[in-house]
Amino acid sequence: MGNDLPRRRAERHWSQSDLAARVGVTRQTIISIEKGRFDPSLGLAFKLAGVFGCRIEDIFSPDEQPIRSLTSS
Amino acid sequence: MTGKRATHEIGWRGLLFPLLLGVPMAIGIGALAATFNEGPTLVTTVAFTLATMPASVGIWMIVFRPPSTPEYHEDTVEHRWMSRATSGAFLDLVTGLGVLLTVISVFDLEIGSQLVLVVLLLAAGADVFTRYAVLRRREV
Repeated sequence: MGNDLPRRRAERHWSQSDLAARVGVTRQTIISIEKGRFDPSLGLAFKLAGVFGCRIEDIFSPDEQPIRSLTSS
Repeated sequence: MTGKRATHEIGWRGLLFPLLLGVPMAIGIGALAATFNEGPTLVTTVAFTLATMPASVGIWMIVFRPPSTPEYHEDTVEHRWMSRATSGAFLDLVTGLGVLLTVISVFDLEIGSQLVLVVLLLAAGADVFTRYAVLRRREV
């Protein structure tokens, strides 16, 4: 599953630890999600979408390619 | 949503309650063992206390998870690794028990139950540890 978490995180100048603390998981979890090696639970996906103020499908895509959000297209 | 740091640091608070509860529990088990086992009381008590101390403290460390534990632990990749490691080890354990039971039955062997349980316990622990380490190494 592809995602654009690194870009969104960089835009807000958040470290992986910052994002992990905001959604209540470990830094390793954020690293694994960003690398596409760990598919988050639906609950965690909603939390990630919540902290970035967007929808889940704006962050995650079913393929390996990073998605382009509606705002950037 | 909180801004709390999500780390695995245990700290003294994470150890205090487990030690306060775990040490007396280990001593109690040691005393109980000395009551039911033959041999020098003091030696038996000390031996069983030391042998059960890690597990006694460890159980309470799980119960009293440190405040720095991630708020949503079940959503972490570490939780996923542990789930996969333990489920895999369980299947290994069932398979091993089946093979062991077959061998014992076919050859009509007499093996002490304590030995079998110790070997199974150690094997299961080593299995979980190895599987977890492999999963972590593969994905990090």
